Amino acid sequence: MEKGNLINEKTIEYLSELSRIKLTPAEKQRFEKDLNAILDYVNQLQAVDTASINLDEELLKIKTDLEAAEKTEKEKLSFERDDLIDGFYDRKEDWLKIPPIF
Amino acid sequence: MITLHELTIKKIHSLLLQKEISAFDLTKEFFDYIETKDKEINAYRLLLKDEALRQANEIDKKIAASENISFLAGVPLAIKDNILIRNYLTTAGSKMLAHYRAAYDATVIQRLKRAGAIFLGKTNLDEFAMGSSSENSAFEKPKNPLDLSRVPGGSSGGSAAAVASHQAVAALGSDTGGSVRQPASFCSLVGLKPTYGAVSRFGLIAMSSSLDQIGPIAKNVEDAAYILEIIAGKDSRDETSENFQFQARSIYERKDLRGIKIGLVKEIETSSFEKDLALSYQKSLTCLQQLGATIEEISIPHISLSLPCYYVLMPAEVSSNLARFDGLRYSPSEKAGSLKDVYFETRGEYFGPETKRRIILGTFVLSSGYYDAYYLKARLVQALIKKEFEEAFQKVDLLVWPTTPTPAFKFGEKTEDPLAMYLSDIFTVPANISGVPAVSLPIYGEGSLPYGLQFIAPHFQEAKMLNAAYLFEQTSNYGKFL
Repeated sequence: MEKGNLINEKTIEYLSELSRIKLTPAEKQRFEKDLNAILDYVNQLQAVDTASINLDEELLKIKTDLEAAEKTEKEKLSFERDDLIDGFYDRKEDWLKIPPIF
Repeated sequence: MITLHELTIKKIHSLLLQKEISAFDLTKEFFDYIETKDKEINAYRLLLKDEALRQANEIDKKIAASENISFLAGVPLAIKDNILIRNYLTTAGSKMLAHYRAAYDATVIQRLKRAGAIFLGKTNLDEFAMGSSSENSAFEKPKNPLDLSRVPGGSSGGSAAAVASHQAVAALGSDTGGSVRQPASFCSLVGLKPTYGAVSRFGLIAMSSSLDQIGPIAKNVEDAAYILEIIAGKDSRDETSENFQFQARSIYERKDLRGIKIGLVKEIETSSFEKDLALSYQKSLTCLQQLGATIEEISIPHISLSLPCYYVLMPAEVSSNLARFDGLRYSPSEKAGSLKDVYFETRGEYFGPETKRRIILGTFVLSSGYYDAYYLKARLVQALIKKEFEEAFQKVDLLVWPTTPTPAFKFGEKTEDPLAMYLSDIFTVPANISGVPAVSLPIYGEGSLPYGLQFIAPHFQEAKMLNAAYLFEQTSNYGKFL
């Protein structure tokens, strides 16, 4: 992995955009420093030889219980729809009403 | 007058059955105490007094009618505020959810309710369970009852503070990188992280789904075991939950540790321990030997990479899990503009600094161009560490090492340096990365502040692990310090 700082002001701007989080100028500065320190620390992973690991094998160990999943689908949920909808920002009948996309 | 300090689950059960107290009076006594005590501790975010007293009344009716009651019936518990209790506010310590009312019960809550447990209230935590001191709470910051100038640990700091200050008999926390065990250790309590898959997380506000586990914080191993018995097992609403059954009485099976091999991981260098930790750790090992255990050194070559692994995988999952907090569905936002503006403004204003830091970091490690170098590499190293744990457990029955490198630290001591805060999880994270169960028990050196000793077992061997922990607790007798 390349040496030196991976994260600069521009990267932070871009990540803030991507993650839909508005950052203050002070936060941008702070996170630039913090992220570089954290990435510097986690970079020790790069030195590990993982050639013997096959993640597909790991994934195959995960079993999905389709029968249980189907049963859950049929089971009535223990909550009232209104209780969920009550948390909405704005609603029109049972729909979540959102601001315009553009 | 009941002495709240001396209460355990077992004691409450026998007092209730002998009709020496009623569940109602007991619950009321707890609330009277909380009213004054919590002004100094800040353990609770929300009290559920009316509902708790109503629940207690139901239990009293059952006792009066000589109905069978479970061990947990009438037992007052505190619940971490990232676990949903229907109809009550659940903030996860975040302004983002300041007004969010849970529409359903978490599976653990459903199971505890069925067993008759009483919920006194919801406890303070680091925002979305991200932190090691509870200082990242957007609301009240709980204090360590053993020393009010120190943190109770985190992220389940409020739960540990409530139990350690006798404002609850036991509590539920969640443990993604040590958030049950580390606060338990800082507050001289027992903290249990069950095997990944042992307890359903349905109704736990997700932080890092491949690592999150719910577990009890209690005054002793027995109490932790009683709670695990109730909350463990398959739940069709959490696909990762397994058909695991645990019986609390299994912790009494063995009377000593003869024939049990306990491994010390040589990569965890005792020479780096601070003096008091080294002393308390050495005393603990002697105690285990006195119980008949054989102690041998084994190797988990990449164990020290668990923490760097964690700080890639966890933020990646955080960035994805917390995408749902859009200011539209869970808490009404007053922000205006286009949809993107609402997202941008709401998330910018209502997430705290640590939450933002982890989302931004997670977004980075998942971004195109860096995904392979960070996320994928961390997954590979995780698989390697898991394999090394499996190999270690072919040689020994259990592993032990400390819970934290230091005792509870002072408020503000690590808030300026996130990496220093992260490093306080160095001994707890390996159990999450490998998915194995771990329990922390208080140990003491010469100082007045406790450390923790962790027992770590192979997947789903909670019975063997808690049996050994119980024997250790009986012999070391550190419970008396609280």
